[in-house]
Amino acid sequence: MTIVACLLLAALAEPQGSLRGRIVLAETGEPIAGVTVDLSARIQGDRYEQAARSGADGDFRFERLAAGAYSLSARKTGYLPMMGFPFPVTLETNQSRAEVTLRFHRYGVLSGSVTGPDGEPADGAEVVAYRYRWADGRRSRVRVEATSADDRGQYRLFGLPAGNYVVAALAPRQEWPEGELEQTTMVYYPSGAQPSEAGRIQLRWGQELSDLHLVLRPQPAYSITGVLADSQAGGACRTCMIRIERMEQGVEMGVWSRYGTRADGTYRIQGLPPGTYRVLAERGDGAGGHVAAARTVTIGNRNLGDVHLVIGLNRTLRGRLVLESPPEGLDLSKTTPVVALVDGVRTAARARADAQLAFEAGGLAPLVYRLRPGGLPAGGYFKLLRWGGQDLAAPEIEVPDEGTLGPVEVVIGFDGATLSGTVQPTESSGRGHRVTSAVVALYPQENQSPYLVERRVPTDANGAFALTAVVPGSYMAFALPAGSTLDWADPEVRRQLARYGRAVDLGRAKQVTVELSLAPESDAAAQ
Amino acid sequence: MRWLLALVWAAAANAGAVSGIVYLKGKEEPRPLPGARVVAQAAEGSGPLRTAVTDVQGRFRLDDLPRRRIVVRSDKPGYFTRATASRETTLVLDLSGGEDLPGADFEAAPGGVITGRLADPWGEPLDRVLVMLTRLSGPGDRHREHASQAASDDRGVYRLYGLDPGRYRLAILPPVPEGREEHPAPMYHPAVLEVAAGREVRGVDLVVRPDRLFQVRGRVADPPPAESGRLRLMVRWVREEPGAPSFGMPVEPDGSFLLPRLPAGTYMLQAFGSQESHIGRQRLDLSSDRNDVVLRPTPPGQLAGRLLLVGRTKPAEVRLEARDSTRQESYRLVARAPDYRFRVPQVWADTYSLHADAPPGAWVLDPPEVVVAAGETGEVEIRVGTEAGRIDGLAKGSGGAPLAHGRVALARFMPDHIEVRTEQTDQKGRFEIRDVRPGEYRICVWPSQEVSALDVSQTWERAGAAVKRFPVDPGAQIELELTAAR
Repeated sequence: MTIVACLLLAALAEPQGSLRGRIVLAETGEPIAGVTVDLSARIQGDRYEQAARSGADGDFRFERLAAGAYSLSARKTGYLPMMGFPFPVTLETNQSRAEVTLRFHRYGVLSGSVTGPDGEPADGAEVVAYRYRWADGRRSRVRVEATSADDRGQYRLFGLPAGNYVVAALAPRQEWPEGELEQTTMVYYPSGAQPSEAGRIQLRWGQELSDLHLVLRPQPAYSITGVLADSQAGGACRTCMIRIERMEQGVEMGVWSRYGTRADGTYRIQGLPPGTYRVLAERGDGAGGHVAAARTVTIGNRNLGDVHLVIGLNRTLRGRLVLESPPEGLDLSKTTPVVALVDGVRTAARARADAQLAFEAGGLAPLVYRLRPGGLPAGGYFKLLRWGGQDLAAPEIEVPDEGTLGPVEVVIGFDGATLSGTVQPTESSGRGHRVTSAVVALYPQENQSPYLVERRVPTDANGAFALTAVVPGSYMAFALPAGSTLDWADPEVRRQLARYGRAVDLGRAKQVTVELSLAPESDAAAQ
Repeated sequence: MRWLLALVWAAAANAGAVSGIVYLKGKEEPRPLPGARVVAQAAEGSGPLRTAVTDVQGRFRLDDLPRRRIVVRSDKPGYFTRATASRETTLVLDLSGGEDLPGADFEAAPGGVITGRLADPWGEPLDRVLVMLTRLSGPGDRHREHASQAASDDRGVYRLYGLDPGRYRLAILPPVPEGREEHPAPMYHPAVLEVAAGREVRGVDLVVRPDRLFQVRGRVADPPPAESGRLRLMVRWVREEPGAPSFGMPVEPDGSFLLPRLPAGTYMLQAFGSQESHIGRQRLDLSSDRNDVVLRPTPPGQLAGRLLLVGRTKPAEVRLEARDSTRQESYRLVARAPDYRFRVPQVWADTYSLHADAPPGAWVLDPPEVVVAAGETGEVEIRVGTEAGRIDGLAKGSGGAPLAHGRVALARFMPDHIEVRTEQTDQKGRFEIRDVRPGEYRICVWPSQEVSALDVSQTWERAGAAVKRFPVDPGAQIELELTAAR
């Protein structure tokens, strides 16, 4: 009798909460089987953990759950969850929840083989998948994934998000006897040694493109030598690194390699095919990635010597903000404008303007910097950069080795345009998407002034938005769903999806209202 | 002028040259292998003297080599290369007469392959898992060295290639799900994998079952007050296999600790204070969750004393290694002339086995082990032999002519195994074996065909009268003439 009572009590005490859910492919809604789902919580100080796997119907379930705040996470090789994990789930006492849907993307794969010119497998060849990234209207190339060809010459680049890729293969490093012609073998898919010959490979989610065959052909390669000196230390810089980036039509193609200097400050970079390169010196003081000097050189058909770099010149740019026709009664007491100097994509210096709106940015190397003023007074925009009474064509300043630098005038205009409107959902925007989570992005049209910048603003709960103090000019406006996997900064992507955008002419002090349709979330949805 | 003379003298002193061709030997006719590296080293010493790379015709030439015995080897990633004349990876050559030796050819064969698939118990592939390959050699496969590694792809497939022929063990480190504090054990493939030259071993699959992991809570009892909040715990896994993980973690200011979840096994927990001071040590046999582990302060001892060198050779420095009972930790004892004293101020109380590290040919006579008690401050005297013997010899073929590139084996028959050292004869049939510890030895030479199983007594019995037996005394210089076994 006592035993029965105990069992009954145990059954009564057992929690009755449950959690059910489903895992589906983001693009098609198809169920995904074999996903490991982990549920954990801290209940009364103890760690509670349980794991489940999704079945053929994509469903998973957890039973006999006590009330509590749970963390849910899920994983499967080759799949990318669309939400961040851990995902919080709260259960009340004996509550059953069944509405959890987890959407996953399936990664893409690029595979194929690499051979030498004689058809022999090029084992050990490095194969790299690159993507282009756009920032500030500048294109740069980033490595997404790299692998090496095996003894059969085969390679497999996996775990790739949907996007446009460039694939290149580089022969394994070889030692060449002293004095012999150096050779390198870098080839872009489908063929060609120059980055401009690279084909754009469009990869969708879940797609596997095999048979991407690359043939390595030796081509002459040259070296760059020079000395890296530290003007402050009065000699070699032992903690410095030399970095070399390939440039293609003035566009940064990503890091080619990194090299240390010898004790006397000399350096030598070998195996470079003809082309334009940017040689950068970085100080290895642990700050990392601080460009201290740079030179752009072009290799024709011979080695380049005497490519000397000097770091530690530490030049200072002075200037002030000039307010052009500010509105009456503008209160400057609560604004502190800051001028950022950007070298490529890195912010090299940040100068705070004082009460007289004067600023001073120190520690500059002889490079080209783009000025990016921020924290401007309400209604103001960066209109123009002036040096010595001249209006500069671009918001950039080239810092010379010596001679005068500045003072510059950063002209702030108050006659910017305003773009406002609402975002409407469209059929192709995916099921159940609320337009409240969209972002409105404004991109300058081609051949506009370099002073025009990209602007973004989220929509409010009603799908409404407003962008003020826009630099006057011609733009394309898009409404982007939150979490879009498309690289909207890429002009090519915008050209392809131009039908979702609206061209807007924003003249001085003009107020324009538009209605925008929500753009697709991914490539697959767009096609 | 003197500088110029020195240059001329150096040119005259270095006169030898070695040249040859590296061939690729596959299923088809041998053909030249370009881009292979060829390195010449001194027979004694480590740094390369000259390096060359084969041209498109597979040719190489190493010029301006010193007048001495040298060792030449060739390599190219993904290939297994050996000298045609010696059938070994090295070619020993005597350039003492300033010889110019052509025909030092090498043969490269594509290396062996091991491939397979990693999956979880439900058959889901495991990607980006590191697969580690260890090569086994020596008597009883006791010598283990890292040979290769690769990562699995999104299908769970891995491929290890360019392997030298030999015996291998394969292990993986199971992946730890993001955000989990766990230290899983490396998982070994059950089989010893035999790889022949250029052969592919397929289907070496592993189903990765998560180990049962245990939780360990504990505390450091009565730590010195000054060290409170500065204690660090070092956790070592006591295991023979290579790749046994160890990790460090801070101890809470109240002395408590919670280890990442660990698989069953034996561990050594060691608490250190600031400046690496030894606080406490505790052995842990883990087979269930534990909440009661207490690390009591264990006063460290010192390992100090002096070496008594036996023999006429007095090296400037003698180095010994003292290995603890877990085989996971060792201390280096450095003793310098003239008094050869050494001192390691803090060591855990334990029994340490002693081994001579340097100079080559030094050996520990007695005691073989030193016991350090907790708080021990005494000194020990260790007798070290430094005067090794040396064997020079000439090997002849059965016809009486010098045996070029033969294989000389020097063996010491121990109670449970045979210790073997091999050397190669040069092109004149001569060989040198240095740093031979005194003892009873057997020696024999074989022609350049492959001789395997030198650590098996039958091989020596078969060689019959070609085997010579002799003692090596301290400092002995022995000159031998050998006739090759058939």
